[in-house]
Amino acid sequence: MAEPSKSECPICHSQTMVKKPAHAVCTHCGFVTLPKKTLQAANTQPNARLGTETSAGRSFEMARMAALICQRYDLSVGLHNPGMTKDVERISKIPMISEVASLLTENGVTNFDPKFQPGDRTFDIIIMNETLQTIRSKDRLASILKDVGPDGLCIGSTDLNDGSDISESKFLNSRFTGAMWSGKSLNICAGEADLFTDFRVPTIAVKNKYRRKRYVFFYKSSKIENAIRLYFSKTPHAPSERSQ
Amino acid sequence: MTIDFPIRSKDNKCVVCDDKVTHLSASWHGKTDAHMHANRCNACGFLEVLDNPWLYQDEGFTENSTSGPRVGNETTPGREYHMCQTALTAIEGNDLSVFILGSGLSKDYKHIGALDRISEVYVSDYSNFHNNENFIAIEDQGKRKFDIVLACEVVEHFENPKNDWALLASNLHETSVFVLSTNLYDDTPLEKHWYVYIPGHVSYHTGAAIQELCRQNDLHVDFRFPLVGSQTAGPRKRYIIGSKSDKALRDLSLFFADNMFAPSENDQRKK
Repeated sequence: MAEPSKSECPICHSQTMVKKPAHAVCTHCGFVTLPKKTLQAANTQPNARLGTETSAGRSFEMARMAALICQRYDLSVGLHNPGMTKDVERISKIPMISEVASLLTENGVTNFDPKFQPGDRTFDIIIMNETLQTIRSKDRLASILKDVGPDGLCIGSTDLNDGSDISESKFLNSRFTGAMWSGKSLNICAGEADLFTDFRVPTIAVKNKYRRKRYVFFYKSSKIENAIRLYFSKTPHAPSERSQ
Repeated sequence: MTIDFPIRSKDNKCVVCDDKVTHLSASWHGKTDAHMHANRCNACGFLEVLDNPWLYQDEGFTENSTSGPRVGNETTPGREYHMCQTALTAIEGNDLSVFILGSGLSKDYKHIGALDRISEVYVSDYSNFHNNENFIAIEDQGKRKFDIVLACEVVEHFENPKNDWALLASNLHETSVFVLSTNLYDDTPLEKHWYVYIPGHVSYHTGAAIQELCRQNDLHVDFRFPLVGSQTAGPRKRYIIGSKSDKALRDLSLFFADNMFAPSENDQRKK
């Protein structure tokens, strides 16, 4: 049988991108893309992940964890394409946080001000709650990662391609998903932006058996690196919204 | 049943970071009558458990250290084997040497020795329980370096943490990786931590204490949750993974992009 034709991977630039019926996957770095899929704008309905009037969502838990890791005051937080989250007020009440802003890219939706675009300014904390899968190019991810401050960190939650069979993945077939990153592909992009990566499991992944769900940490300094590691000496998993 | 009100110790200082300590005392909340006294460091949180030594060479092994799926036998690998697999994800090359500190009655040295990338396995303990020809006396550590150093449920027995960690570090070269398994103290009530009532457990480390001990020995360190922590070992079980090379730990992080847990024995017994 003839080998499938391979094209260049947009992330690792190897000639290892294999076309499948519904997506293309790099056999070298694991990056999966759905280049022709038209993505729906961000989820506009409040839900457990986004936070409701009565219960905290994932963005709040991610921001609080980030503040505890940063261990300082007057922190600025950029919520990347936050949708209709109800977590903004909760986040602004965290004592170490002095400012919460929207960080919008195409397809981004928000219900609060101020609004910024990648490249406008830096933040101490950037939260990407299920938005990494909307990013299909190295340049777009780099433009967001550039906004991470010197002793700051960016935390993204997403499903990662872990090398297992993804053909039946509901995540990949979601109308919000244009890409499925792997640890290796994210690590390549982070390295080119002079950042490091770390990968931790959120509680929701254990409770709901979402085996591919991860929090991805992007950071620059060894101070933050040690603080992330210390954080996970105290808790087995990263905090997330309550399972339903 | 409750933790007594802590009082400031008059004389003692932390055996890890030299800061001031607070004396505290607790009783096990269950039916078994058990009490513990300890010095808790006000800075790094290290818990020095007092009056709880256990001399294995005189008093023998506790049941916990000889049975169950943690301890490898002739047919089934135990936790040390899986800890070695964890280390292998962070280290390059073949013909690797492995040193198992506190190997006890485990037969994992055989399973590890059978791995493709491993060429030799040395063990160390108070006694050479298996008449292993690759045996190193505890006091002879550091005379040679190993690529991988493993210590499963050992550091909680360290009676002099500064010296014992330095001795552990003496087995490492610039790119070696060590993997330790222990419970970490997370500041929750000690009346529910059976770990500190087990005979011989005299050092209850915190993450901060381990970071300080690693700093003293020029080591980088990370903490990962093993599979068995989600089963029978509980939420405070950790693998402490370290190296003089920070690159090794960053490479290891990629393993956890693909895997939820650090590999360990799969213990399906009910708690």
